[in-house]
Amino acid sequence: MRTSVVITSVALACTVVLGGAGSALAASGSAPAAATSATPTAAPGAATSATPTAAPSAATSGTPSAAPSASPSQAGGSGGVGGTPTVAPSQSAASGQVGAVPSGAPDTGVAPVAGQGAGDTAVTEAAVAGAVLVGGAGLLVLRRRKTRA
Amino acid sequence: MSVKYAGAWLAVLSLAVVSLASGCAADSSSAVGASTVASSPAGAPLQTPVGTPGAPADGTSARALARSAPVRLEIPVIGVDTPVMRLGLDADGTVQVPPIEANAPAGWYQGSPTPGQVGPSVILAHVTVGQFGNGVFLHLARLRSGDRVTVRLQDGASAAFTVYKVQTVSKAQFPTSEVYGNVDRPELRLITCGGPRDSSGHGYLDNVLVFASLDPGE
Repeated sequence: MRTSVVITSVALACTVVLGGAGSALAASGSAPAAATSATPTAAPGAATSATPTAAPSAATSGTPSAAPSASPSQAGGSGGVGGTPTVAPSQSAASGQVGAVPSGAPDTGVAPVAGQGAGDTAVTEAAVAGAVLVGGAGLLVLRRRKTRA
Repeated sequence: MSVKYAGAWLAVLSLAVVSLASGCAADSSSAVGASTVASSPAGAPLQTPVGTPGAPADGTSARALARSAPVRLEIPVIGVDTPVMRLGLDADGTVQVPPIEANAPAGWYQGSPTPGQVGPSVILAHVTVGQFGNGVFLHLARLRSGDRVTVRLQDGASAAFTVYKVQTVSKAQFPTSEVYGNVDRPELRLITCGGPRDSSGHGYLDNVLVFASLDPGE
């Protein structure tokens, strides 16, 4: 009886461990290399404004390269939203090496939303909590049985 | 198996789970870490001195490449291998950024020199892409001096750069002249977001900037 309780507790803990580890590893393993081959398409949602600039034509190098044709998003930090045309900077527009110096800082990051990466973290945390609970309950049961015996 | 050993087993399992979870979570949070460096205020007049503070002065000048748009960016040390699209300016004068979508590529600001030309060539990419998860520059802040960056060009050539400076700066104090100002040799700027989230929770307060110079012999 005692052995079966122990085995059950360990099995439950292992199940929770595997569940949590799986989601955590999946989240960390999806990092930047994922962007190696896909050809992006139009920008969705908030990035509704930008008119696409010229996309590079086929790469002539030996490295396989998908010629991206995506529409860039408008930098959101300045509060600009939608409907404004793209200004194609001219190299000869100014005397500097950078023809038209952009204003402000680029907004090159949209924080993860709860539904995706953060969700994986939440699942992991829940799994950890579950494992601790199962472990604690198992210990309690075992101690009580030991006391009775 | 005794009761004593069963307790130990459970304790070890619990510890393993906690350490595993914390280790995985730390990966994403550390991507935009690093110290914040205050620099010249945004909107400062663009200076045009030649020479770059902090740039290596090895006495060996790299030979500039012909103008050719970048088509691919490779940074092996952080697992980046991505197409490069072209970016312009928005009507409000801010630089465009790659689209908010899965597998969004990096983007070259086409108002800057092409990689390998004399001057600061500017490439931007997202650190995270909202609901689409990690961006191509998720680990940009992990770059260190001496790391290599290769840009494949449309004409078949490639430009190899070596990182000489990585810094995280407040967006409110974006060092415009340092990023876009003239330099006397071919250089590369890699830009993404970093630091803590802004008040809206949708963006970041800082930018991660990587400065690199064309390798001699390129």
